[in-house]
Amino acid sequence: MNARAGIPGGGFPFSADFLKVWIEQVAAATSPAAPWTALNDMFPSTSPALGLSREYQEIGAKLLELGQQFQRRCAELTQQSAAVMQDALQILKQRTEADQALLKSPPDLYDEWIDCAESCYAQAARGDAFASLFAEICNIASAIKVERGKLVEQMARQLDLPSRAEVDTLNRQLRVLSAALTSAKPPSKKPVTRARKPRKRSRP
Amino acid sequence: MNATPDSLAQILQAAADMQEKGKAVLRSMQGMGEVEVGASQKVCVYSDNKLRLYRYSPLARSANIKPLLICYAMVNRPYLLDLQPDRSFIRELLSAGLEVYLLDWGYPDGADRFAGLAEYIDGHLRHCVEFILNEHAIDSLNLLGVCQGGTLSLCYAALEPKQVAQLVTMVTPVDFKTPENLLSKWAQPIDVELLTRTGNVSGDFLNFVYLSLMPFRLTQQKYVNLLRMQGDRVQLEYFMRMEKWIFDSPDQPANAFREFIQWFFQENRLIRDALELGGKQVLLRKIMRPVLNIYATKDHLVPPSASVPLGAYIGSKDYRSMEIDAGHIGLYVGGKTCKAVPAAIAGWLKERHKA
Repeated sequence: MNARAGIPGGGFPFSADFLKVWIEQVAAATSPAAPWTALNDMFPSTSPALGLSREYQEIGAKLLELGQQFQRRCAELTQQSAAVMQDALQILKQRTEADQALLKSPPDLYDEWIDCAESCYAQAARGDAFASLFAEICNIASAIKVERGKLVEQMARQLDLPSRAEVDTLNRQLRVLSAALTSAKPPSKKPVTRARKPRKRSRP
Repeated sequence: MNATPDSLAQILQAAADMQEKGKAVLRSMQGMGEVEVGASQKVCVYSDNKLRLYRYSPLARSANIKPLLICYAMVNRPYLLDLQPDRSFIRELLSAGLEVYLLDWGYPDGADRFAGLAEYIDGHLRHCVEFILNEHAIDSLNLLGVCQGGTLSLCYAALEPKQVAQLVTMVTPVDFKTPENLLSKWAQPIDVELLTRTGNVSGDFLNFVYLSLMPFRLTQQKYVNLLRMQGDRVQLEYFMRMEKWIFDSPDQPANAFREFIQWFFQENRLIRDALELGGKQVLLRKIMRPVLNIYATKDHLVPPSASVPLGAYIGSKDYRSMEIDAGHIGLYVGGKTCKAVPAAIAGWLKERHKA
């Protein structure tokens, strides 16, 4: 099957055929990012979304793109973390060379390792590169959540289930109503709601 | 690293010892069950939606000063202040004869996603303050703000300076953009509008961020140290209470969280006289009453540099800062500090009351 020619499974994403092709491609690949790159190969993400399922195609393409971005940033974070560990090991080596007694006490050696790792991490974490990467991962994850929410919204509508948008609309209306009610009331000195006093138990 | 056969033998022996200690700890923990938190008696005197206002039962003869309202942070649960009888910040305040109220924000859910900071500060906090003022027929009370709750308390005191007789802030961020503030550094490039577009921000996400500040200590060493406790039940119970508290983080209402990150962390509005809540300007210089500002030297969440500047922004001439050699959490539950700090606060409040 030529995946580039269209989405396997008759245009509907995540059908059995589609998943079969995807699993085969992932199994044949060696890169940790393979699940995403394989999906990218299979989805015509650069072509415009057309037809009955265009809304789903758009969300799917966006999710794929975001998934790849997320994967890349996570790989960068892993690299930065590996560099931190390397630096920490170097410092630990220097410290154990300076104080051989550390090697005779595993608890002390472990504490020393934590000190080294934490100090190297703190240095990296305070850098612009780390802060920027951390934020990018967070922002991409948020965007994925937004797109995923759109899919769930559509499915909820199809199944005639209450969607988040509907609940939010009701919530907003209630807040407006509540505010109107409060402003219509004469000002009272005491707050409106008070906790109920515990009831005294009646004697048998 | 050159390890001799002798040192290797020592390492293996120590590893075997550690394994035995670990088994003892796990055995002790197996029968422990659910740990209880909250040591002091309290009664809910006011509630509104998720919010609860508690009044603690007195433990000593009244000091005859104005009641103290504790405004805790929204990002954690307030039982940290009353964790267990021998580590209870609140118990010490009660023992000093203070009348203590605690504002508990509760666990916000999806229904609270549109509630903004104005609703929490100018609404809920105001209602609690006014409830206490009415109950005691007084025109002002003492307010103690903890961490983020300190920032909220500062805002309230600036909005209603006459209702706050004396203000105590503890590990409270005031200047949100100091170089030592790692949380702030990370918060700057976050698209918080996007983050909150899908609703409340989960407590798990916040915990992940907190753990990321010191990942090796907080996700590894802490548990290795647990094995070193040798099955001491009292220590283990304390550990489990703290563990429960750390991960018992409420979700954050989307709108209020967005405003807090944008207005405070990203725009530093509080110290720029640029903060407005519900159309009212929040000006720290309007705080003219006595202020005690307590900060911790080893605080990795709110570094001293974020708290110390407070004195420069308020209008009060009666300002005192207190530096405590502790961490952000140790300030409340540390063996010595959980007694010394409340005693110092009670002393400061009583002194000002006489004056």
